[in-house]
Amino acid sequence: MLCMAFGLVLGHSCSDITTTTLLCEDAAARLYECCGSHAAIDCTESGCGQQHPNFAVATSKCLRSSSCADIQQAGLCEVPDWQFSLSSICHDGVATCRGDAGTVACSATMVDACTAIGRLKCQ
Amino acid sequence: MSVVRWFVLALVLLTARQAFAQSDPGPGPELPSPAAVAPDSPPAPAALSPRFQRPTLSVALVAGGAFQYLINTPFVSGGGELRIGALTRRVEVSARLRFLAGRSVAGLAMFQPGLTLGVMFPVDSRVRIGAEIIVPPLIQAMFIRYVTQPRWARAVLAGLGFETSVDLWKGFGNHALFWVGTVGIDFTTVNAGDGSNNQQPTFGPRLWTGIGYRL
Repeated sequence: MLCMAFGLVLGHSCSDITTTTLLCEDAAARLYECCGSHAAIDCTESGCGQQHPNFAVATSKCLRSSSCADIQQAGLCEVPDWQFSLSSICHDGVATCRGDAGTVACSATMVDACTAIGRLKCQ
Repeated sequence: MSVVRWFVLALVLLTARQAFAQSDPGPGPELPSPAAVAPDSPPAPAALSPRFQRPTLSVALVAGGAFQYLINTPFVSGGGELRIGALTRRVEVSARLRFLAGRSVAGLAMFQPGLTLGVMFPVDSRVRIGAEIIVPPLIQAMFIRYVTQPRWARAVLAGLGFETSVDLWKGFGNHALFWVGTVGIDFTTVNAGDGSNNQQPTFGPRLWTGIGYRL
């Protein structure tokens, strides 16, 4: 509210929206709309790179532009866990995880989630 | 924002020029006769110059729909606005109280209350063109309902639009049923998301069309 008050008085524009969060929420809305039941999605983003939304920008754009039929067919409604770790990368349906000693094996749920995203046509 | 300010300045100068031309008692070859310009306008008081028309109160209600593409996200919405302003033969200036509700194409609910300014110039007995201006302190707010967390995200929009309106049916006085269409650009800022609370500018197109009734 303080920001909006300053906006009114001083002519500044302001928002509490981050692009990555909004795109993740938009993709989550699409998943919620298409799936009767679904795993929890976390789109929060905190400072200093401590926490990122579950869906990256490219993944969010792909998800929200996909039809419900494609989402269901890809198995996205059956994904048990969307909690990608900060050190994981999901690209073209392949999950890559890094640890202190370099590349490490990703968890089975992460591999499943990434594989399902990779089945979408826009990947 | 400097482009917006220059545009607003140009509009103000144009409006002032129009007003000066109205109050000028001398003949002007570029000014058509009052009857030719607005046959249904109320007659000017005898004490005033025949060219001068006292501004009349203009009130209109508009219902319509909008499409916006902002922060990499397409939104569709519908709603209405109340327009209150002053109308002369040469210019109409109105404040517009608008409320839109809708959703992103993917499904995020949102609503937009706003207060904007419209400056319209008649180019025909039925057609007007002009600008819609959303610069502080006039603003359009945008509230977006998140689905993974229990809160509304908010943004304050500024913007500028080119507007056209066409009177579809004219009644007595200024009464008219009209179509209106606006093509514009919205401006807002988004949080950089790096924990610094820095704001980054973002722009996006906006289309608005509706049917209104002028009282």
